[in-house]
Amino acid sequence: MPASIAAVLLLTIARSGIAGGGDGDGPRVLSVSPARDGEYVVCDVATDGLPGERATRSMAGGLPAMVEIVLELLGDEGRPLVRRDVHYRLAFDLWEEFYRIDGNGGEWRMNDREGIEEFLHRLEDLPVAPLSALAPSGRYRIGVRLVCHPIAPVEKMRIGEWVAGEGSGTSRDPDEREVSLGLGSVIRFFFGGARSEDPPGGEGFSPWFTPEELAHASH
Amino acid sequence: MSKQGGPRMMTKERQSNRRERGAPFVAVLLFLLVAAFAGPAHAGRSPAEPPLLLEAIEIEGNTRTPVETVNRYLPLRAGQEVTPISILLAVEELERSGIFERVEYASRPGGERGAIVLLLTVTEWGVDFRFGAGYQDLSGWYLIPAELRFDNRLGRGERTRLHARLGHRLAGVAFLFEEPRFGDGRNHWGFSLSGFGNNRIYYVDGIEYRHALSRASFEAHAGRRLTEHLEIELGGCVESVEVDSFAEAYSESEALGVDIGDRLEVGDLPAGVAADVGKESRGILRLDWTWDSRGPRLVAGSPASGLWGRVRAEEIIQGDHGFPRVTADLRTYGAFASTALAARLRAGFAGESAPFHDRFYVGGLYTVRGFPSQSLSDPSGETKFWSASVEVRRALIGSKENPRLAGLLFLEAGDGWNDESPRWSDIAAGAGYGFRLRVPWVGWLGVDVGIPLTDTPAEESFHGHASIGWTF
Repeated sequence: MPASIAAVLLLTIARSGIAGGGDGDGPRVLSVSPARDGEYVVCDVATDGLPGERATRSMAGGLPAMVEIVLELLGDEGRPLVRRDVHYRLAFDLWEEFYRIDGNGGEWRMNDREGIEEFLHRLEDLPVAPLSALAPSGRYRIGVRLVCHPIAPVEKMRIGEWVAGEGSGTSRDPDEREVSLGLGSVIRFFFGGARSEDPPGGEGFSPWFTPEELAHASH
Repeated sequence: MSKQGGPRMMTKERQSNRRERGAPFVAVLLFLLVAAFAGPAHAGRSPAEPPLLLEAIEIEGNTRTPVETVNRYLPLRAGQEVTPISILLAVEELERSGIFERVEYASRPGGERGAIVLLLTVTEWGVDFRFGAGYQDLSGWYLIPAELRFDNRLGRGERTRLHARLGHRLAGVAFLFEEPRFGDGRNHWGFSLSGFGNNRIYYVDGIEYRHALSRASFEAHAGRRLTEHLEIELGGCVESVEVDSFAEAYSESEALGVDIGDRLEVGDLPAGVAADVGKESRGILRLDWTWDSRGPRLVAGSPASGLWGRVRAEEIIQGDHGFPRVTADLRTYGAFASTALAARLRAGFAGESAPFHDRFYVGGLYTVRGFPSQSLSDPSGETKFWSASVEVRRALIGSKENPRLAGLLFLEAGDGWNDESPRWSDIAAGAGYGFRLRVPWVGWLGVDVGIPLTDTPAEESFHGHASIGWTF
């Protein structure tokens, strides 16, 4: 009997943890289209769900958001050969009332949220790898992971620079230190209800291709 | 009450002969300390963001915490200019105050251009059951098998905790209450009720002995932040201390015919310890001055600028006599590129009639790391001591500001003495290296390896220490 009670208790905790975890559907990668741009392999990525409700709220309130895109050139066995990170910083100027996107070597201004969504719906000419990294007879595909951070990680890192951690023990007794863990947070961690710091992300892959099959980028 | 004579691990004369090499290291340490304390304060760069007008702050989820309490911990007011960075910093400060289990925030445009409304959603604490571990310089490591926290139950931002400690040399329970900010937000007060038994260690003829003492106390304190950096605190304590009439050997010696568990009865105890055997009730009055001008910026997980210092003056009234006890602890921090420099000076003085458990002991993690804890002092402690440390800290893995893993090099020295005048040749010096790992939920954990630069009574070529957090 005690064992069954314990099992029910654990199941309840686990279920309640799982039920509490969701944060919307998050962004999705609809398609990844590789191309050749001079001596570089690039790709266009079609997405859905960017920038998302939380990032939009954050921007509207004056806090910058960020879309992080990880591009990987994958070899024949799916092994990553080259990795590139591309970031777009999204901000809303509360004085001039326009949206601004910075990243991938460019800067764009939009008058409304629809402009931002349209821009992020099709991300073009994202650099993946130099063509020289590809063997003429090899088969490749491109993997894309994207995450939208409601508060740009760059801003959080800047906060990390400024906020003094629990760096030095300055407790009542200078020769005493203590650490403790909350039982609740440990249980939530092990049973899945812990709140993740990572925002939801999406991923997708291009079709397999050989260097010969790459079309020239049209942009 | 004399604290001299009696069996000792090592007489001052012997220590003097064995430590003659200490002076050059002290000279180097002195130079580094002067450099650290005189170095330019690294103010850090100001975040440059276009200012916005904070039109209003809206708070949700505070069922028992009034807005006035939140305002004591949130350094933002409606009507002031803010930047994204200053908002994040302020919310972070509220979160770190611990009065709420969780603080979430969002913002929305205000009624006019360039204005925003900050929306805070807070989750108040329930009863929090915790467990953990701790370290005290004189009592070693211990477990906290259970701790109950009833934080902010009254909505005043107060901390209420009941916890047990269980260690090799320490066991007991404590109830603590503290209101970190009240009134205009610059006052604090608190009290604690505790009962602990612990084993104090000392060495007699190279044998480690453990001497049990128990303490039951009630302590209360109140303080006020006078300026941005200066705080004073007045405290009082009544307690009962009982010192056992014997000590037990915790190491053995064939030559001396001592086995583990052998007793050192009251007649054979060191004179300074034997004089304190028995039960005493006493009262303590305490005054603290604390200065904290450390900047918020971090380098290698350490403050990048500023000073932290505390001077504590106590008058301990025991039986028909009293004695003073004064300690000073001064720390300074600086940063050069991605390297942090930290230095610490400590000193203490206690009246001649101070019992051994109120005296100072040198050696160990918080004084001179190249030596075992308390190994550099007489069994009955010292009435005066000083120690100085300089550390160079650098990020090894992770960001240079708050890395996952940081490394450090240290050089330190110290000495303790009683009636006689301090001598250069008695100074113990050590150097070494260490690592600090930042563990999620827990914070910094570390190991230090200290190498004695002067002769060590422990006859070892290095001494390792595990630590929670930074030593300073």
